[in-house]
Amino acid sequence: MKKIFWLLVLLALLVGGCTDNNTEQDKLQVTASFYPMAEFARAIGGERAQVTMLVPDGAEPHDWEPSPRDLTKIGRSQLFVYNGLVEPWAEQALQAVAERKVLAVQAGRGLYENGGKQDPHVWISPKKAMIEVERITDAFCEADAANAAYYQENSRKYLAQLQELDRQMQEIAAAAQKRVFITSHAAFGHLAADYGLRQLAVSGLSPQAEPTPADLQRLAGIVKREQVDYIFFETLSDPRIAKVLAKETGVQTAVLDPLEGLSEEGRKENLDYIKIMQRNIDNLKLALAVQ
Amino acid sequence: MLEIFEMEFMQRAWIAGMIMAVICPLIGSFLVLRRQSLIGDGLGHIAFAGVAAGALGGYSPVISAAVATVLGALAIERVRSRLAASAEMILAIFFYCGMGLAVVFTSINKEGGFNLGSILFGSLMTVSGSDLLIVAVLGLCTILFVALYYRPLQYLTFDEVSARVAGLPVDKLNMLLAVLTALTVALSMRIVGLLLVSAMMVIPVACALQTAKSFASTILQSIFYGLVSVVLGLVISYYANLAPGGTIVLTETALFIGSIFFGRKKTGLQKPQQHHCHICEEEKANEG
Repeated sequence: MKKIFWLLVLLALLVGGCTDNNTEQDKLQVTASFYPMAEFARAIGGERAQVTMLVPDGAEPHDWEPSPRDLTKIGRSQLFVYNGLVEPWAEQALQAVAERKVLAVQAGRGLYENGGKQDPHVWISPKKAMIEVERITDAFCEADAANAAYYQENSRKYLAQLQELDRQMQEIAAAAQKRVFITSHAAFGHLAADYGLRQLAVSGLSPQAEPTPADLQRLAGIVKREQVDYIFFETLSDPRIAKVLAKETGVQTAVLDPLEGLSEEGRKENLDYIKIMQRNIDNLKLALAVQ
Repeated sequence: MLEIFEMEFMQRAWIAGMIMAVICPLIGSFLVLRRQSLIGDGLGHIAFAGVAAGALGGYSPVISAAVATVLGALAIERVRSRLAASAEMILAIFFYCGMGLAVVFTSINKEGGFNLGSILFGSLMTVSGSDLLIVAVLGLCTILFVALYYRPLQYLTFDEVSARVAGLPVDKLNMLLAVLTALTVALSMRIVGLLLVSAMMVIPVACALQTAKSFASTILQSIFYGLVSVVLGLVISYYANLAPGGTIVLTETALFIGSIFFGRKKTGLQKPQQHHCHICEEEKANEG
């Protein structure tokens, strides 16, 4: 009997010690799958929404899986924002909390098609990011109609910043002397396609796809033929291959951030989607020799 | 309400987990004492083949796993009763055959269709309402079966040969036990996953063998240990963000280690095991 008693005490301590009380309950509760979705949701929700990002910064959203606790967070929220395709777990997660009537918005739906392939990285193109932001705004207004005017105002301000990025990209499209850029993983296909550029990736759509020696050979050939000056690597995945290729072919490297999550450095410097995209665009200007 | 009970999917996981915590040790008590501790593990492998085949043919993983394990269990049981001397070897061959089939089916299947991780290691979020219903019905059937045939099953467990001589329907009971084992394995994969199913059948019974003094109390105590480990495992895994299946099994293992010390202090050390061993020797003598 004594043993049972102690087990019960332990259990009570565990359960009691871990319950958290929600202090921000009057705000609209929003869960967002990973960084750009959370950023868009925060921009729209402003002070009147509590946005919880599920995939932590630094984790690969392709590989992440929600824990029961994360599912509870989704179930508690009124609105769940996700991109689609990047989150293979989203559908099952929504099914698990089906009773909760969480409003789900798949911000990237119908935008993935790119050159005959389904490419989930739509947020990287300012044009498509604007569509995503508009859809998320609509969902905010539906979930919390009382504050619709507020959300729309925030959304307008944010869209203006995206429009500025879009304008700069169009400038690149008009003035670039080179059309080809090389990246470490194929996350920038939509950015390239929407602005008349061509992305060549060292590895495939998933950051884990390893390039074969033949791929590298082929890329080295392209570097020479297209007279590429820069090879881009990204912050979250292994830059080794891009660096090897750069060394082999004698070109320079620069960072092109696919914005799947903020890096440690990005958090410290208080960077956000707009600032990082601005950096990406500046680096693209350099690589594509925009006068 | 406590966060851990707040969501419906967790409520379903709790109910399914509790039912499993009762029926796994219930069935497991017979298996362990018959020296068939590993049969659940083997059936888990065969269930994996069933899931992989089901994904190919577009069937629900629970249904295809149930069909595969029942067929596998019946075949193993048949072989066990005919070729008792090499039962272990035959069982091993069934494991490998199941694993081989699973690997082959998975390699044929290019489209995926099932989440390998959640099948092998369990996934609480996949327990659906209909899963729960099936688990509840199975639980009821298992408890009824054991309650109705308790005496014959006990006889059979300790001495199959004399049970047969005494005119008990040994083959029929063996078949029923095998089928229930198979279904339990197939259904508990949602909670702990196929690789750890067998632990829920074996470890609580191993704990009970250290502390219980009779066969009946072994069964009851093993259910108690099963329930404790599922409750603790689910709570710990939820708040510490650990894999639920693994946490449940490790909790069981910790209970087992505890039960060794606890059991030693008390009288009647490992009585059921001694009894069991005595029977084994008799069996061996008979076989020889």
